Amino acid sequence: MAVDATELTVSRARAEIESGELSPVELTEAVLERISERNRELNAYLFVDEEEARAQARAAETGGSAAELPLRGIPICVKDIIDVADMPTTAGADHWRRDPATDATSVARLRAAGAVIVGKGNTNEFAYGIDGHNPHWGDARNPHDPERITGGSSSGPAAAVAGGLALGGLGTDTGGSLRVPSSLCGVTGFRPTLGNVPLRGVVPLAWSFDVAGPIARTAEDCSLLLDVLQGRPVTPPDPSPAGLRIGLLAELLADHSEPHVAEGVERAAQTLRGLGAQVVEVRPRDLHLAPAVFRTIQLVEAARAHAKWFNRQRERYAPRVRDLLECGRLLPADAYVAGQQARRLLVDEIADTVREHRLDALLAPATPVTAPRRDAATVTIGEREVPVRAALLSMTAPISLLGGPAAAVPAGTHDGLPFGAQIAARPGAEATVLRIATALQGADAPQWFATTN
Amino acid sequence: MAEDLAERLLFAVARELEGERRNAVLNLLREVLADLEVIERLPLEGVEPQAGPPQWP
Repeated sequence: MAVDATELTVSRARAEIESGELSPVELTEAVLERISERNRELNAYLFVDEEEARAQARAAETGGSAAELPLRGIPICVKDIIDVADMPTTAGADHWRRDPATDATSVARLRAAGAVIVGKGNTNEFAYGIDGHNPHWGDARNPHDPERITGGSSSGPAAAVAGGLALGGLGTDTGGSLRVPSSLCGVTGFRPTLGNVPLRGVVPLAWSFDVAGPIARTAEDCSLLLDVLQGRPVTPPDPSPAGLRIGLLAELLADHSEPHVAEGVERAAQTLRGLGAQVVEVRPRDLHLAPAVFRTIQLVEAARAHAKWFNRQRERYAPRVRDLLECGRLLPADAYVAGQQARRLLVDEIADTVREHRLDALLAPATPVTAPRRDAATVTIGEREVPVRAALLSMTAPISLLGGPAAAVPAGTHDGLPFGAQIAARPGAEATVLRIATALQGADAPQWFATTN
Repeated sequence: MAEDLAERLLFAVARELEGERRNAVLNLLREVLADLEVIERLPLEGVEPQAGPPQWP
């Protein structure tokens, strides 16, 4: 029987491998075939090691049970700012490269769980961007419409998972780099609590916000990947959202999202109510200031992370990244400290809102729009023309300030293009986010999960 | 802070960069200075900066 990689989830493949219905070699061959058919167009992978993938798959044939090897034979695309032994790390740049002899800790955990590391996924240069553009190696293309952006910076893993070129992805998220491309490509991305997934072997961007996390087709799949990445179980014992209290961030809907996105997120809220959750509208006072606070901190930290490389070869950076780094290195310490003070203030305000309304989680759009065209500089939201980058960051950067887990899950489509809802919770509450995300994709909820052919 | 900073930063850019790059960085800096003005309007007196991962109260 031919294996269709576009139809499989991690969960289903795992069960079929465990029962012997599916072999890791067949699955990897199906994914490699899909890559040979579509990667030229989608540019999801910057590097693929077919022979190594086949060798890993053959080793998985004789592997242990799902309990021993929970990701046995599952093909994974790793964002190219994360080290994979014996594959180049370029960070999406053509002027920077390292050839690691060892895996990043997160990759080592996936490999130890039996996953097949297929190759390195496309990314904005040094993960410093939210649109998925890469002037060095070419943009990853959105599998739903290759003339649309994927979003970024984890553009390759999102495009690979959406297009059937991998079953799971490993990416990073600073201001939205797992959640934004997941939203625009119609898959599920999970940003873990800061510090829960080790960052050894990952090229840094901004230490205050950087995390590594999974992209997959469903929340259940993200949960399986996250168990492995965190090195401890996070899968919720009770997948029902019944009894949870969820705050709908009303300010991010009206006037800040396209109407079909706002309607989709309100539909998600209604679905959750139908499943026994209580959803109430909340309006934390200074939430609208969050992108300014995020940007100030990120500019300075990124400039510091790049100081050594930038001084040596600044002319070779992509113009946008170079300008951001140039700007960040000019900002003085008091601007940075003011940013971190403002961050503390916003975290306290949102924590107060959560306490006042006795909330378990927050709900908002993951992006305010569906995927813009690749050449678009602005998008129209309500009556306003908003720069694409500012629009894409507007829903996720505020959540990055909070330090807790957040997921983007498919919440609908408009003109054939997907968009996602975002669920966030307090630090350490991964299981709560997964309960809600899983419920939105569960048997009792409308099916928005989409793959492409 | 933002007003004093604007003068210093714009001077630094004018000194260090030329042509299109100068304009691009200046435009970006103006946006960043607007962010800083927003931050300055917040009641930050006595607020400890966030250091490390946030622990919600």
